[in-house]
Amino acid sequence: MLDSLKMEATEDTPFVDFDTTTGIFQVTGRALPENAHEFFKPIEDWVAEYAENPLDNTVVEMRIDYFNSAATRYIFNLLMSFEDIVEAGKDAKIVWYYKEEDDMIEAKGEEFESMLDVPFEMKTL
Amino acid sequence: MENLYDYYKELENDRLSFIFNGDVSDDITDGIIRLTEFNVNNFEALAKMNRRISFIMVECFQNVVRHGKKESLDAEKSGGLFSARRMGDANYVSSINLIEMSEVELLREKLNQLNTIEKDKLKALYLEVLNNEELSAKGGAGLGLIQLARKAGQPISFDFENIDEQLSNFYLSLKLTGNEDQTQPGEALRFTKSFDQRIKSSDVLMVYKGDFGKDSIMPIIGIIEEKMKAENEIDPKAFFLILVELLQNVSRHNINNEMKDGIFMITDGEEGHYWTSVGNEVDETAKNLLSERIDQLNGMDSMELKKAYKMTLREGSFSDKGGAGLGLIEIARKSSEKLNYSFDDMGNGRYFFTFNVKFKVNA
Repeated sequence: MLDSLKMEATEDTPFVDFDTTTGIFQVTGRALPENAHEFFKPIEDWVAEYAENPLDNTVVEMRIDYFNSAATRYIFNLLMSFEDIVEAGKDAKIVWYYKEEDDMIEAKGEEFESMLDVPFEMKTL
Repeated sequence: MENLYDYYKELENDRLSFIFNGDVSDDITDGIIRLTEFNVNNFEALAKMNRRISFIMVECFQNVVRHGKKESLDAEKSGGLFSARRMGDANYVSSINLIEMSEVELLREKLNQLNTIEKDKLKALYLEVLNNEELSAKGGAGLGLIQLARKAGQPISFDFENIDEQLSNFYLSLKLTGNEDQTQPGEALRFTKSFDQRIKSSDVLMVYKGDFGKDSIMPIIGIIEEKMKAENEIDPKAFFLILVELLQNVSRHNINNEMKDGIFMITDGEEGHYWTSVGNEVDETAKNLLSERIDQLNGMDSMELKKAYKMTLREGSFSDKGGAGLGLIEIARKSSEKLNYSFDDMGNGRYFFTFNVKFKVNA
């Protein structure tokens, strides 16, 4: 199995922990990178490799505070790559967390849900 | 509304300008230090005085905070102003704050003394005040100013201006350069005063001119975030996200790929609105592209904007520059009005792009 992917949070990028021993993939914090490509490329590459031989069960837990438009694209693309895993017959699910009063992150989650073909759950923090 | 291009022209020779008008708190000091540290470090001749400048900034800034509690009967005159600007090889740090008229003479006396005392005596004076509780109890006229004089190694420019029967505006200004040349007392103030006054009497809450790269933008965002937390009156999330898009947009569409210079301003608008304005120089291609896109977005209702957003998101053609229109659509979706923009012809194929976004204050 592929080694887990772990990235510490910075002031403009989130904490990333894709744990291949548990199948729990977490993205937590704010995603406001000026150069979104630079930040997300290694994650995309890692997920592409993971998708070739995924665990039976993957849960993607998104706890995002803020994200800019550049990051939105990449997050969307990232979540979309779990569609391939589902298509290949494995279980994958996205859990989108939002604070009850945070209409913006809630709306963003709903928007993503309507555009993605992968089990998607909305949960309040 | 204030014209952004006018301010841009006025600050044309500034490599960095940061002016904060209104009540300030310690929470934003950190952001201000980081902002200026980065900008100072990027300029070799000043790097060695970096720590001194940070110190002086904090001292000046806290001077505003310390006296910030005073309230004039005329609410518009309350609050302080803090400003840091760099031109050529000189840095100017200045502040305006409201003090009791009864403090004026003591302060004047103190500052005159500090400006004439020999440099090596300042430390002795510092220790003396430090160990004398009676002298230091008053705070303002004591240790902070002595430290300021010590670190600056330059005369402190100051002035007072009575605004009513009890209160006076206290002006403070320092000129700091990489060399040891002494400036004349009053020199710094002659330079900073009129602009500071102009901002103070305007509806402008904050102006930033300079680099729009990540290392500058993040501290600015931090400052505004802290400020918003304190005020708790506008939807901070929507405001925050628009700010990020606006500021990052400047670095995306810039005539100069190396410098990414621009100007950013927040204005207190009429009837519970804020205006955030950003401006920068663009070439003709960018001008045409931006006009076309913004006009297109302005012609859409909220459903159409949502559709456009989803379409752009799904397109999936990632450019290295990231945004590809998504940022503008996001701004259009969150703004409370149609997007307002203009271009001023600067000659030689350069245009000054002004982009204003209006926000409603939460009632």
